[in-house]
Amino acid sequence: MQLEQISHRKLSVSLTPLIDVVFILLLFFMLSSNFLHWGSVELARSGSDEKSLNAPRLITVLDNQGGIEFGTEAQQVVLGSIALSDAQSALPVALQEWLANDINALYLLRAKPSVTTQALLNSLQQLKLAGVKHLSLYSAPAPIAE
Amino acid sequence: MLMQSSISTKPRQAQSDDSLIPLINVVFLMLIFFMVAGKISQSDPVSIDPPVSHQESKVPDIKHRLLLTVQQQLYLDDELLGQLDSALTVLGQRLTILNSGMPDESLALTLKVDKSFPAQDLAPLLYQLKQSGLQNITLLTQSQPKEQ
Repeated sequence: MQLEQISHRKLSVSLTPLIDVVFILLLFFMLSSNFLHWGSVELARSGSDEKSLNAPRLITVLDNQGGIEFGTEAQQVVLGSIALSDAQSALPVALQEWLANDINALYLLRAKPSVTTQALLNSLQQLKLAGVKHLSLYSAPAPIAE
Repeated sequence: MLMQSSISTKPRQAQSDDSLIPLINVVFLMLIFFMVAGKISQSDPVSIDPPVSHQESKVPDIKHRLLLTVQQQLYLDDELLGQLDSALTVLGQRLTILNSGMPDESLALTLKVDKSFPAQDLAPLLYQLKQSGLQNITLLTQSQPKEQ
C-alpha cells in the first residue's frame, strides 16, 4: 500500500517541471514569432545603369486613388485597382501610348504632398506589371515645390 | 474507517493527474503550432505598419536596415538617428563608415516605411542614400499575393 503511494507521488512530481519548461517554451515562441508575410520591392537602380539610359521621364502620383500625371502636356489618368489589372492592357490608353514612345527610358516616379507610401507603391507596382523596365523613385535634395 | 479514507484518496490523486494530461496536450499543440507556423525574427524598436504589395518577391538577406515611422523618425539598425530632415547628415556619415568597412562589395539596405508615410518625403532620403553610394535599396512590404 505504501509502496504504491510513493510511486504515485513520483509520477506527479516529474510532470510539473515538464509543464514548466513547456510553458516557458510556449511563451517564448508566442512572443518571438512573427506571422507577417514579408515581401520586397526594389527601389533604386545602380547609378551606372541610370546613366546609360535615355533621359529620365517623370511620372507624378497625384492622389491616393491612383491618379497620375505624365508627359509634357501633363496628361492625367487614373490607374485602376492593382488587384484587378495584371496586364498592360489594363493601363489607360493614353499612358500606354506614352510609355510605348520610349520604353527604354528611365522612368522616375514622384509623389505630390498628401500621397502616402502605399499609394506610391501601388502605382510603382502597376507600372512594373505593365512592363516598364527601368523604373525608380524620384530622389532630390528637397521635396518638389508646388 | 481507515480503509474508507485510503479508498477515497486514491481515486482523487489519480483524478488530479488525469486532468493535467489534456492541459499538457493542448500546451504541446500550441507549442508545436507556434514553432512551425511562426517565424522568429528580430523585432523593431518601433511598430511599423508596412505597405501592402501584390507581387511575390523574396526578402533579400541584407544586414542593414532603415526604419522610418509616421512621426518621421529615422532608425538605422535599431538606433534612433532623429527626425528625418535633421538625421540625413548623420545617416550620410554612418553610411560612409559602413561603406569603408567593406570596400569589395557595395552596401545594401532594406527600408521599412510606414504605409501612411508621406511619399514625397522619401525623395530627400533616397537622394542621401544615392549620394552615399548605395546601389541596392529594397523596400520591405507586407506581401499579399493576388487572389486568382
